[in-house]
Amino acid sequence: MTTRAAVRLPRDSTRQAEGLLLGEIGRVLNRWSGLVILAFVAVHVVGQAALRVDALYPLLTVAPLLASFQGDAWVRALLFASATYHSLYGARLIALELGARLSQRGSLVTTIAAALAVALREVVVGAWR
Amino acid sequence: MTEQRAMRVEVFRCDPSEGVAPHYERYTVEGRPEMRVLDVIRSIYEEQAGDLAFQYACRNGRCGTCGVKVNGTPVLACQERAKATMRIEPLSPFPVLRDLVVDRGEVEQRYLELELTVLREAPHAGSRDAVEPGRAREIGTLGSCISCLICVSACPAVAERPFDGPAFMVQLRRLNRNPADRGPRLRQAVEHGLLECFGCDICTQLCPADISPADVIRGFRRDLVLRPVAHGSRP
Repeated sequence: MTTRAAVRLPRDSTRQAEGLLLGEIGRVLNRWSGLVILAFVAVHVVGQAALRVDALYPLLTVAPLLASFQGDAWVRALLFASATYHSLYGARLIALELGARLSQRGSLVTTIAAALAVALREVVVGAWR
Repeated sequence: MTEQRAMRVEVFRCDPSEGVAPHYERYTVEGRPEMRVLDVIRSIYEEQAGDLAFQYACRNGRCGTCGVKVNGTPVLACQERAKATMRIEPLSPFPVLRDLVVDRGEVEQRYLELELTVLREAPHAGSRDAVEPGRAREIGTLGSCISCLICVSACPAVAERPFDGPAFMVQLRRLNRNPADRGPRLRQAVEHGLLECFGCDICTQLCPADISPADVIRGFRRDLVLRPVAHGSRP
């Protein structure tokens, strides 16, 4: 039946303007995490091209971090957190499309927590290296 | 003695017909904490700004005419509790006629174009349509949409993409689920932006009629994949 909410929502119809729009938070985070992944791929491709194509090698003299930035713990933390969030959010959307019933708050918190855990691991492991 | 509190309110003011540019005017309203936003607007109208334009009718959340944005969130003014500090604006993205009143003409026109009545293959037989009880309950729930346009105003896909909005999907789904209807509802839904929805569920969170437009859209999408020919709905 389509009239029952697929996502259970925290709801008080007299205080709608006070509550967080969880869907909007999730959507914006999804967009930003996607942009982070795209930006990483773009910079990574340029960096690797500079290492392998002689004509682009001078780029490394201007921006030496191009070749090594992916090794930075904070970059990895941001990238892995973004990839985790983006994947789980996408999986959640697909599950809902297929008829799954999820708690909106619970699924969002779980997704964010998983992304943060992955980021924390990268920072801790990076500091240990 | 009843408890009173002061509320600081910013109200959007604009009158294109008189050349008054959009701006905000500040008011202070004294009132009880359980006041609704509509009470505050009426208080401002009666005591401070007699030229303030706003709309309401039923005052109990059934007519859908008092939709406004409070601190950026679309709500029914008659239902939402007043805040200590509020910014009240007309619903976006609709053209403003004056102050808090928006032009719903384009929305009504689109409703008309969608032919939101049961389109039958043969003339009405004069007897009741047989509808399975679960389906009838679903149609009834979808029919309780009050067309307040809060979901349309809140929808980020409406702002960014060629999507008419969740309210239109609810109306189309109501007819799509009616066994007597032979209109191309799924095709109409696709043409009006079914596939543009982000699936964020903001419409469901804010719907004053307790409908889940997001779930309606998901139902349509499942039909699109699994049962595209059902009820003459081939897209």
